[in-house]
Amino acid sequence: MMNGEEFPQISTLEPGKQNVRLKAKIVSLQQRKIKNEKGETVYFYGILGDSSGTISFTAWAFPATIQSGDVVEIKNCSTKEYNNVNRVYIDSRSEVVLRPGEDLEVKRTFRELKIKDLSTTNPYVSLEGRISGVMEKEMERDGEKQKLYYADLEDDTGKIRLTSFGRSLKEGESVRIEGAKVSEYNGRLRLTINDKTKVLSTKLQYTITERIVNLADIANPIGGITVQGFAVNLGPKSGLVMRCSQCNQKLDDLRCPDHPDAPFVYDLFAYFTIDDGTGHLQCTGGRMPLLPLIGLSPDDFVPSNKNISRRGVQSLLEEKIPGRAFVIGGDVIKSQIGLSMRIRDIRPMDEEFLKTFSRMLEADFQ
Amino acid sequence: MISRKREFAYWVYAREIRDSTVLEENHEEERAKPYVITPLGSKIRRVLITGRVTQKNSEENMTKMTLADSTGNFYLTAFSNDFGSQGKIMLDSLEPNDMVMVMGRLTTFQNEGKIYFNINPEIAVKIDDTSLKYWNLRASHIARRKIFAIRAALKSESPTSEDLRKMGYTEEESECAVRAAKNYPDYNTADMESVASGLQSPGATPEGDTVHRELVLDYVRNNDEDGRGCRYEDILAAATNAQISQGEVDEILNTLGSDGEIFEVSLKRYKAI
Repeated sequence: MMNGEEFPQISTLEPGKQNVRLKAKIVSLQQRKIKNEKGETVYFYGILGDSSGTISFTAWAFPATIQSGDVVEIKNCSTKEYNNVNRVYIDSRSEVVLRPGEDLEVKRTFRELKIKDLSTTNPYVSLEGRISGVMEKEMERDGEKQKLYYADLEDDTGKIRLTSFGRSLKEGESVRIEGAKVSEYNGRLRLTINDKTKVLSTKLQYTITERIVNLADIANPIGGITVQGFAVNLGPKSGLVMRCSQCNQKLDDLRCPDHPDAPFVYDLFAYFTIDDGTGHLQCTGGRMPLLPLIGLSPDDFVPSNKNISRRGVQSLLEEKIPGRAFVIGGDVIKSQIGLSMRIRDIRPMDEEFLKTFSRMLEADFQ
Repeated sequence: MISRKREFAYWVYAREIRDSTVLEENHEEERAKPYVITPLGSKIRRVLITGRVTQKNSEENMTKMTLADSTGNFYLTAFSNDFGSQGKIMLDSLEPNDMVMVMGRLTTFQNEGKIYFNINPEIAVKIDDTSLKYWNLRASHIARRKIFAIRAALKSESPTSEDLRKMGYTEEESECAVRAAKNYPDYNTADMESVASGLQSPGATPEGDTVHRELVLDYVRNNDEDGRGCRYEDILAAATNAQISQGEVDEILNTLGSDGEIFEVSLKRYKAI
């Protein structure tokens, strides 16, 4: 179906088309730098919308003057399926022209996704899950006091931080959310709901248990998962860390430059790569998960204990980590080095886990 | 600085390496070692393996070690040069009969048309039974899925990775299957599947006497390295890896002898008939 100026509607776009001409509103626009052997390249991506729906786009060049919210005409773009989703591609042959003063009503379309598949590439989503860890905070917005709710939302594939402006969240409730927005903050994904989002109480059709994931299947920052594998190295900067007891700053010397009289405390940090046969992932952990692994209690791990030394802690990490098979629970985050895991808990491989793991693998052949 | 992608470490059985006859030169990197293309289509330059140490020969400048899994032997070499000294220290700390996990670079050399494989260890650590079971579970699962993908690929005249992905195989499995179908169209995957299936259970214990018997017989058939017969110690190590006790190994060897499947060519050395 064409509109007044013979532009195809977004909902009618089919994959594999060339020389497509479109009129659309830029719903979102972001850019990303990629480094490869040829050097550094910038590309743009975002969402286009019109009254029939929305579609993601990728552009290898994009006019600097055009911003999110503008209505544009795009000539000579193409459409192609990527990860089973149709996208618009804008390349050097395409032309993006601003339509000043025009506005377009955009019909929001939300993809139905599991938490493990969430990414900022498809920011408007519908999903189901169970709410836990609700906290509330009061904030001022446009001169009015408003309540802000934080919680975790989890399904059978992962966990994500949920933020709600004004709408209360109920601890333990299973909900269906339509029209939430996915964004990224400090390398982690989060989900935001506002007054336009539908939140309906529902009954989940699955049980939430330990979410065991193959490393090859981790494509996005995802929380609350369990991975397993052999640790194949130990980062050279892993070991005992000294921190100021007042400001928690890491100390190179025994004195904090800002609080010279404050005593120092011990902390622990380790990073290593795990390999599970399907892929590999860097894991980083701190004092809480690592102290039990190296056989020290928090009471032992104090500066007054003369048996604790940098070299001793390094030796314990070397003895307990490289070459060992582990089951690791935590959250995957995104940083400059790519995806890595923040360890919440780590334990040596055990028979109980193997039983569950075996059932999971065997299910593939049934 | 341009970051280099970490070389994938393949979890493979000794037999998958031993049966490999195809090398692929890497033209992108100068002086790079070739990839080994295995019968299951894996394109390997690094492996992560487990097994029992059956032989160790440590000299000042070099340590050689033989590692046996339930399907055959891996040969490891570490030198005391700048690049290999850590590997040599690790190998030197291990003793015969230790169960170990090794990650290392797979190197090849050819002589009279035959390819020989060697592993330069980057990490070699003694492991416990549970870790070994875990490795076996995962490695057998990987091998079985690849075998199923290869069979699916062989049903098509010109299999593509995309077709296999649509059937539910991962990108890696699909690419391996296409490579295997191209390079080893006549490879018998049934034997490998039988070994992998036997090691799939959490106890890594093949069920039933027949599976154990087949494992031992298969090992004797395929591991007569010097033509003087397969060594009892190697059979025992391979069988122990597959959670078969020494008593059961002795019984199986006796039965195979009585059935005319094998004979003891010299003291504690066996040949298949």
